[in-house]
Amino acid sequence: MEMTLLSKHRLIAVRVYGELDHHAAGDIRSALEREIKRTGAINIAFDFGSVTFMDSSGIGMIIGRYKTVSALGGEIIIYGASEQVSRLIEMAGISHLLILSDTLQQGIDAMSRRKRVNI
Amino acid sequence: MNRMELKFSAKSVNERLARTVCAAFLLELDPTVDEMSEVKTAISEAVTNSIIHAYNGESGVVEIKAEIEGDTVTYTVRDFGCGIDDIAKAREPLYTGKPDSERSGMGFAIMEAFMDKLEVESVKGEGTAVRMIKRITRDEQ
Ligand SMILES: Nc1ncnc2c1ncn2[C@@H]1O[C@H](COP(=O)(O)OP(=O)(O)OP(=O)(O)O)[C@@H](O)[C@H]1O
Ligand SMILES: [Mg+2]
Repeated sequence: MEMTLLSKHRLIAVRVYGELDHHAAGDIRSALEREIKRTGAINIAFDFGSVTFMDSSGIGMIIGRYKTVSALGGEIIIYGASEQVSRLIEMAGISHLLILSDTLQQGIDAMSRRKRVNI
Repeated sequence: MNRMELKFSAKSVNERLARTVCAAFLLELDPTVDEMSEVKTAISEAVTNSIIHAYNGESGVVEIKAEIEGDTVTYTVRDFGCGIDDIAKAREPLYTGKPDSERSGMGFAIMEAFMDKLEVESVKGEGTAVRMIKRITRDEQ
């Protein structure tokens, strides 16, 4: 996992690699919770382009981060998700909580539009 | 008829091992990429449940028996953990016994959606067996 802070957007961009299962989810959760506290970021963008597998533990991890950032007034962006991952997000019925996009820039644009509407 | 058995410690590091072996066992039936990923996901759900819920962090053993008969594969994932009180309730989508641990209650719903048949047997204090059956349809091209 690789994390980058985009301070201008108060956003942590995180690239997740490999298989997002119960074994991997715990580490991602604690790293992100720590980074949010440390940096004051309120948005998370997940780059799922290198995720080769995900199960319900990944869904649980995404919902957990959604709860954290939505309490701060932030958003979750997910981009580059495979067919398998997208299908699971659909099945879990959580798409409406997330900004799903092809690229980080599209995700950030959608986020800015949403925030403007909310003001 | 082809058979396979796998037995491993109930540790999260073995979740990948289990789903990879179970998916590889299926190769004989020439599955599609989607069928492979469905089997992988369903096995991952069953094994993760045994590790998280049945043993709840304690040590234990998970056993998988797989069988191919004709074009149909059957996987039985078994643990010797706490068992399930109310199986019908456990199988309801979004029900979780661990609402504080970032569980979404999707595991059984995913197993049901990705396999053709799902049977759950459980005895309180003795353990749980989850049997999943899937027919692999070879499209002649
Ligand atoms: N092998 C098992 N032993 C004991 N209890 C189990 C077992 N499998 C499932 N359960 C019970 O059934 C519930 C529902 O399981 P399910 O997999 O659908 O959801 P979950 O594991 O809670 O969440 P998720 O799978 O989305 O992470 C569990 O919360 C647990 O209480
Ligand atoms: Mg589960």
